[in-house]
Amino acid sequence: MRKGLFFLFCLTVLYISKANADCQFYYVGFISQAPLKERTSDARKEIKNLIDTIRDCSKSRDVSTEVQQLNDLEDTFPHLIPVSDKQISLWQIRGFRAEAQAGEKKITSLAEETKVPPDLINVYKENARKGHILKAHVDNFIEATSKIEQQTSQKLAARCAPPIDLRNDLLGEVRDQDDVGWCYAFAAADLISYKLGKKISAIDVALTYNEHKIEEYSKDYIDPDAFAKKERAKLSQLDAGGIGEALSSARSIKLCLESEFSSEDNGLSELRTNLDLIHDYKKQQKSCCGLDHALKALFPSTNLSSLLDVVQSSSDSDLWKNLKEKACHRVDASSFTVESFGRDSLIEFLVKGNKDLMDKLQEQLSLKNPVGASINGPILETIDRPDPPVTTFEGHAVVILGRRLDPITGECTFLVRNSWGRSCKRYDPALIPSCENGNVWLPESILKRGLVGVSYLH
Amino acid sequence: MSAIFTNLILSMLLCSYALAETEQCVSGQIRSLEFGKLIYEKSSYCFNSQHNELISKNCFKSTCVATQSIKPFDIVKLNSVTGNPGFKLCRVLGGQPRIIEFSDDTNWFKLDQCTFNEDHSFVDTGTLTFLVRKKTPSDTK
Repeated sequence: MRKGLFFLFCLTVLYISKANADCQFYYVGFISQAPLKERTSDARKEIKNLIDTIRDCSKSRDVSTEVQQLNDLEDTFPHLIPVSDKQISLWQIRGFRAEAQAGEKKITSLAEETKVPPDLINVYKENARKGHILKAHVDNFIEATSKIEQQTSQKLAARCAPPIDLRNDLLGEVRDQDDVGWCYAFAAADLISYKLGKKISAIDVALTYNEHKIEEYSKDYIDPDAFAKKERAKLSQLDAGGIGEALSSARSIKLCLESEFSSEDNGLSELRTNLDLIHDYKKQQKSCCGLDHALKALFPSTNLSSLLDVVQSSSDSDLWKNLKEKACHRVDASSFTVESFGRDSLIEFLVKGNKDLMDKLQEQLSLKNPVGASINGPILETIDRPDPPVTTFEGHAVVILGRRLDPITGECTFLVRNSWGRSCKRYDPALIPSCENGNVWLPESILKRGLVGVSYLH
Repeated sequence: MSAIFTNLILSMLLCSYALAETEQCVSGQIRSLEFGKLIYEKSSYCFNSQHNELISKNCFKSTCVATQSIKPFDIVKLNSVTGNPGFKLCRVLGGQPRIIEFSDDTNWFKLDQCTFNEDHSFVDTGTLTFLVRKKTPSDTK
């Protein structure tokens, strides 16, 4: 509900700002069919509104839509138009000129950041022609834009140098988070693994991050009323989190290795099912549902009978702590400090942008330090929505392991280690031009649309 | 009638497209970790040169449940914080996803698999996403 209101607020803010920026379009309303007196009266009102709109809005935008409607009305009510065709034509030319001028600003602004799409240039040229702007001016502008683009290209190339690729054998192949919403934990585990030189269990990072919630979850079962409610909380429903917070909580304990506490060994079951199965068993005290299998799946290198002993002897609240104690050698990650920067809300992201986050990302990559990135997930999918609206904002976490200049586009691209497995076919090649076994090379222009946070370790 | 015919043609096209980039079909083995144990299954399948696309052989030049189950779906709806969207898509279409490894000669390659019980046909979830995207009108993608 809060999320819904938040989006509504964002959309309202966007709508208001757009309405203020653009002179609103006017569309002719209903004109009654009879009697003639009323019809004429309606038409006169509509013509006045149209002319007012054309006159006022031509200062800031194309008014062809209104002019066309006025022409249609003129066919039916030829004597009601109080201004000359010439005046209308002048206003229309002024509208095209305003569009061309706005186009110049947009093109210049874009050229300072990336290559300008040819379509945008063509639209500008057409508006300039219809706005009777001198051809010499248009040619000069196009030439100046080209120079800015070249400078931008050189600047971007410098920012993207040297090329970095931090993939290594320890991190191994791209992980697969399965059905569980712990992308942030997979990202945090990769960052810690890179620093420690040991592959850390993502599931351990997630459970540590959710420790206080797990305690709450355990209480549900102590409370008979809560237990009776079928919609009670499930351990595996503890989806979503932040990379920075997960890194911070992981520093406070000693961690399991991936080989000791497996995040991807779920067979035909799901990670969430295995977790719930173990937790539910403890709470319900029923021997069922393949507890042995679930324990072996999650703790493949530990003797089963000793795990069962732990389950039997542990209290509700220390079950997972004791299981990890039994299964893991516990690696210390406390020597690292966590740096985390981001936007606390969508509005803050929309208002402030993310230039500082992009700079941090580049800075850390130059130091050969992998960066955890909080992004708007749909930027990985939405080829047909170049600017995902705020309503499609879905948080996702990945690790950025490198950068290189795309020789074709001249744009910096970032090596994104996702946690959706080795497949590349899930990504649209028109959006993501290069993918290597699940490692995605994401163009800077796409990443900038959705980067809302960066986290890394020192 | 024409709608059925169109769907049939589209399904066949989708199926052929899926296989256009695959380069090799073999009778091999698929193994998965199931509750701590490696389970091996004999299977026939096709894959691409990078070994990151996989489709069962009964889908090759033929219709199978895995490719027939493809239907338009707004993939963006799956792109949330709640896991690998390919796994979710598989379940939405009636399949069962899991992480597997498949063999090519003596080498093993890790991928995932969305299996349809009716005829045991399968496809990796990335290819599944690709096929659904192809079939989904652009205004609903």
